[in-house]
Amino acid sequence: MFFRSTDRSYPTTNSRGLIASFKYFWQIHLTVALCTAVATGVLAGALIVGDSVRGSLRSLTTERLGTIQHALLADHFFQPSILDRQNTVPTILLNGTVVAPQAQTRASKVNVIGVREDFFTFWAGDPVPNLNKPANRSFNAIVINEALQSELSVQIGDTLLVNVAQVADIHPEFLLGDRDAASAIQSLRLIVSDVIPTKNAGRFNLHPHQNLPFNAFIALPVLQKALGQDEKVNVLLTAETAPISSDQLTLTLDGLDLKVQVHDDHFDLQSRQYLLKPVLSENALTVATENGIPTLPTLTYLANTIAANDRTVPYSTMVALPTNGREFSVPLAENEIVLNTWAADDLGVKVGDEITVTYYSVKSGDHSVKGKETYITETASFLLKGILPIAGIAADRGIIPEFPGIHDTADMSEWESPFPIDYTLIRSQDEAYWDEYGPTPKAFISLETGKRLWKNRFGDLTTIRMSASQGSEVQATRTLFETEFLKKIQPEQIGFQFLALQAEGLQAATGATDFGMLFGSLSGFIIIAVALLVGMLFRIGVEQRSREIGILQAVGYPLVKIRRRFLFEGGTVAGIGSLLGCLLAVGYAQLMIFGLKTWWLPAIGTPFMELHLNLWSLLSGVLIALAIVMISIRLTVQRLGHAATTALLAGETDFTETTHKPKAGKEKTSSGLTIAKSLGIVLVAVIVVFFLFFDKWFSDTFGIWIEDPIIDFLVLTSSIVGVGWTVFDRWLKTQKVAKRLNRVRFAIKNAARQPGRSTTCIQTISLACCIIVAVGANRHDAPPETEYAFVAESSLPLHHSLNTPDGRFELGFSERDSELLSASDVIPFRVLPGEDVSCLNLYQPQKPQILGISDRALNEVPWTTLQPNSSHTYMIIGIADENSLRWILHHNPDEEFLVQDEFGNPLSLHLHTLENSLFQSQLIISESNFTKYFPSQSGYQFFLIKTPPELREETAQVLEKGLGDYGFDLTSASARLASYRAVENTYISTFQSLGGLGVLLGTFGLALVLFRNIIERRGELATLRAFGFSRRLLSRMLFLESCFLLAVGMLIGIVAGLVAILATHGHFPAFPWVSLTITLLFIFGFGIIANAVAVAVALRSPLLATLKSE
Amino acid sequence: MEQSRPTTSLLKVSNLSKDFGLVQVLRNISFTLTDGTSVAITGPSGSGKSTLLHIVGTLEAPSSGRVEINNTNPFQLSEPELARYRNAVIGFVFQDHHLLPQYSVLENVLIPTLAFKQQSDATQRAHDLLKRVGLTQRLSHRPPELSGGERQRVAIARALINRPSILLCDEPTGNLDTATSETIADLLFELHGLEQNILIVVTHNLGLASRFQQRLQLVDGSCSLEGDTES
Repeated sequence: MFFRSTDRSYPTTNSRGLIASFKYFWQIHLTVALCTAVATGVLAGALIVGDSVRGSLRSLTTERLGTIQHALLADHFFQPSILDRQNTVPTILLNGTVVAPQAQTRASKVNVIGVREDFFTFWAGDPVPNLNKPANRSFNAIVINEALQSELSVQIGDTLLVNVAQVADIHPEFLLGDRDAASAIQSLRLIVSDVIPTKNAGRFNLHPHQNLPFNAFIALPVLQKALGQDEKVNVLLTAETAPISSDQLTLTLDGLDLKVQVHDDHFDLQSRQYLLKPVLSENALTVATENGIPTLPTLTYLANTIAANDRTVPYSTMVALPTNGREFSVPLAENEIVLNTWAADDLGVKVGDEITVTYYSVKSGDHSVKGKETYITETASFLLKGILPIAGIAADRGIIPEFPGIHDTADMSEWESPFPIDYTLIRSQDEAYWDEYGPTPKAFISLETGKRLWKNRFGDLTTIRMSASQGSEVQATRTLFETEFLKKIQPEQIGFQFLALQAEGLQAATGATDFGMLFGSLSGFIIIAVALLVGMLFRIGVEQRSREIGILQAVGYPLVKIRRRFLFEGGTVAGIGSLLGCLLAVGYAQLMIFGLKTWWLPAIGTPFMELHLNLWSLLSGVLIALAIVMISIRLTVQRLGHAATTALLAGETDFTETTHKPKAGKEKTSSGLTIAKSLGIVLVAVIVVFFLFFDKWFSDTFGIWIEDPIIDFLVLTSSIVGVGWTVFDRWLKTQKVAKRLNRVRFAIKNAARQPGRSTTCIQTISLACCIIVAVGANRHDAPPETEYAFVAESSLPLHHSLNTPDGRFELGFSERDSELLSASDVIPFRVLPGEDVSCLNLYQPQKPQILGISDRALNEVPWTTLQPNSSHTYMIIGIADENSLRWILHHNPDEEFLVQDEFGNPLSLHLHTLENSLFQSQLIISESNFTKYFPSQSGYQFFLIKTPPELREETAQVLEKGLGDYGFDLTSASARLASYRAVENTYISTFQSLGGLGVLLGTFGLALVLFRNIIERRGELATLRAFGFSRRLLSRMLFLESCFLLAVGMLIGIVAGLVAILATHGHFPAFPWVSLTITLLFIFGFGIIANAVAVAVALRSPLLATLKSE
Repeated sequence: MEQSRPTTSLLKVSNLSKDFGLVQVLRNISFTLTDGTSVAITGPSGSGKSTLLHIVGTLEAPSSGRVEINNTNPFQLSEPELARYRNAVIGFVFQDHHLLPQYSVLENVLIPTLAFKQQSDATQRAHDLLKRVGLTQRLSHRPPELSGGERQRVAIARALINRPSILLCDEPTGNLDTATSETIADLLFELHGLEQNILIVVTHNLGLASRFQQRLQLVDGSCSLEGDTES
């Protein structure tokens, strides 16, 4: 028999007695020790899982970075010599796409890395791969990692086409920028010379992510040459621990894409990007002012036409400049213009006549509106204020920056511009003007008017002309300006970033999700179940020894000593159990890691995890588990003394029960207690209703944040479960006499025999069911539905609209394909590169990827909240996925989220949240704000696509094929959602699996209680047999009794779980009824089987002999 | 009692022996009892009193010999049939009352009626029996709230609920003080007079034994029957 009977004597005192006690009650002590071992194993094991995730992420970080400590990263190319520091490794790092023509495969989001051999020294001991041009081959070499090799299915010697974004001086989205698809992409044909493992250098990546990167290495000079960036790089890496700082940078005007043209009495500051970046022009003007340098800032633009009196002058340069200075002394109002004599004569106008000017503006941002062109022809009307001879500043070509493709042509008809030109408008006199005066401006307006018309995100000045400061030569003034100006510029303002890669990587390796806490929480139920079980087992153990306690009391032992003795016994047993638990912890952690690498792989993406054992975690787990078990034992021992000594001597075993035993004639409890309990239940009911319906109102009204799903969940479930337990316990203890007794009622009332045990059983079971229902309800079994057919991402930015025939033509689609694509609606997003903030990234993201949604979409839900609000500078509205914000970024949605704009300024995002959205990897802002704060980012790299279902397959093929060079990858929108949900579902599965373990423990507890009850009630059962109850009937009734407890426990748990769902979601979500019902039925079935076994085993021995043994 | 047992009862024990391994507890016990008979089984400890009672009560099978109750050998019945038979024919009162503590007095009395299809008048009969044993005021109380004598009275009522032909009592007053023992004994005889069943009581109490019509003295497993064997 599992439990000893209570009527045998055994030693009770001193250490020998203690050992004897352990020997005598070895079964119960062993069970308690095993339960403690389980608690310790589960808790410490969970902590070890957390350590292992962190340790593995740390290992990945050191593996992908090698000995690299710091990096200087720029959004443009620069000369490595600007960094005054030794031992740096110049590198080019680009995002690109790689095509294998022979295998007809393609990989996008490839890290295209231009390196020298010294790059590989960051991974000491690794062989340097062969980057030399293969002998007898026309093309240069490329080294790829195994992940890319596998993706492309290529071998050494195969040819690859590598596409990267072409580097251009002028931003593609400016009027003069080149958006032509052929010019936007630089293709390199290379031969695979080596394949390196996807570890160490093969795993190199600046952005922390556990997934395997696609890396392609090209010799640095080869890549520099292809990009036209001889000697330049965009990354410098160092293994030295001293950080790279801005004061180590020596900026040059050339490095800032600036050039200075020195003339006799002045010099002109211009940019190779045509427009002076605002940050540069503002600093230049400030420096000039501070040093007494006179300035003439000008803005030069191209007018498509200057018209009056039905005459038109095509394609003329116009200059906007201050009109109250000594260089240009014709004061101009906002609507006034000055023409040179040639233009005035050509138009036949006189002062006071109306002049109409047309010019292009580039549709910045939403150029996806159907039927509209990228270039918008704008019109402005002026009154002719004056006519200037072509002399002085009116004849000065120096203020006109070079228009690439225009400036150096002999004839206007040879212009090669990125914008459309109607060559039919060009007349012979225009060519004659061009021959004589070139781009000399024909019209002048005030600088304010010019800025109003032509200012854009890339700047509002094209030239700053500076004269010699008083008493100084031009050259000296220039030198002074250059020195002061370069001192003024902060590298961060012009796109430099100083990264402590190793430290930040290790920081990120702490992980977005604390798996230790996660598994600790997931295992929490097991620990609670174990604590309850240990408490119950220990109580049973103590109850077995009621006679011993009675005798000790009778011979004068103080109760405190008896308690201490039991506590010591329990502590010793638990201590032994917890030591055993250490071994179990390692095994449990191994099992969880195995699970994460196999069954629950979606939770971590790649099977990178290894066991990392931390003794502190092990010790913490041991101590916490031991503390929990000891509290449970302490609570049991504390109840010793509730029974009279005589009762204990008589062998009464229910001394720890607080069974309500009203005295004769006084069945009702005191009215005060009843009122208090009633009030308690009412209070809980009020709390439940409050958190269900009024939490939002309370938060809004009083500004106290209580509207939180977690708070709702915890408060409601604990309230409901607590009330359920209390009501059931009270019901057990105050069973009324039935008007009519039947077998069912008879069996159910048996549960009231040991109310404490019965309540403990339902506690464990109800907790398990509550958690399983509440968690399981969040499972998304059904394929996710979304109005979008596809989510697409491109490695290289698209500058043409997929929504317009012109855009599709520019992107190279055939007429047929274009017609097919016209059935789709594409919402394009701009992309600021950053880290994935979804649950797919295990690292703690530091710099989230930000999307700028096309302004066209802002009228649609949910984007309406992103309507630009210009009243706040550096504070804008954004959208984030609630789960990502809360669980990955660990950010309170009610607080501002800080990012940095392109110039290093803090930008505050007020984030609205979406639930279970497609945007779990990024933050979203409006395109207007995106281009305002990140102006240098160009094109679109993220797309939402609506396509009729019948055209989806064909559309996907056409898009992926047509935009292959851009690395355009389509994913089904529902598949993308499903990938996020897979992580969530995996966590839920993990939770349910661990919850299932808890259920097993709970059921084990129930079976144990049943077994123990049967043993204790053998006399009663024998009596029933004597009265004609057959063995089968007895079995059935005992079985019914345990099923009743199982059903009550499950019912309380299910109700609490359902209410928790209602509170958390505000409604019942798409409920996975089937899987949940199956799970619950499984629990019920398992419980039934366990109970049946317990009944069968307990009734196996002859009952009737019990009657005689008395 | 509004109703009585429908048929005349006969208990016939012939050459009954019982051994536990090498130890023979009962040897060739034979006796016959009819309705209205009351028998006290006496004897020293270990003489086989309780064993005999349990065999008569069909709780235990004899090693040899025969027990016939109303011309039926219960030990030839299957386990379910035997249970039904015991439920209908035999009532037990134990020294330790074996009341179920979680049930009220009334419910405890009704428990035997649950084993098989409940008679429609079971509850009324329970009320009547509890009235007879003087516990009308204690119907809703639980056993822990009762005194020893009250508990045994409940046990007697429970034993009689199914109108058994044979009422078997194993030291019914063993745990009670003298005055209470007397009261319980009076009650047993009173109810026996009303029910007219066969009453068999195991007791050490010779005073109590002397009040029975017959006394079965067990010594070393053999018995001798004394008293009015004709009744």
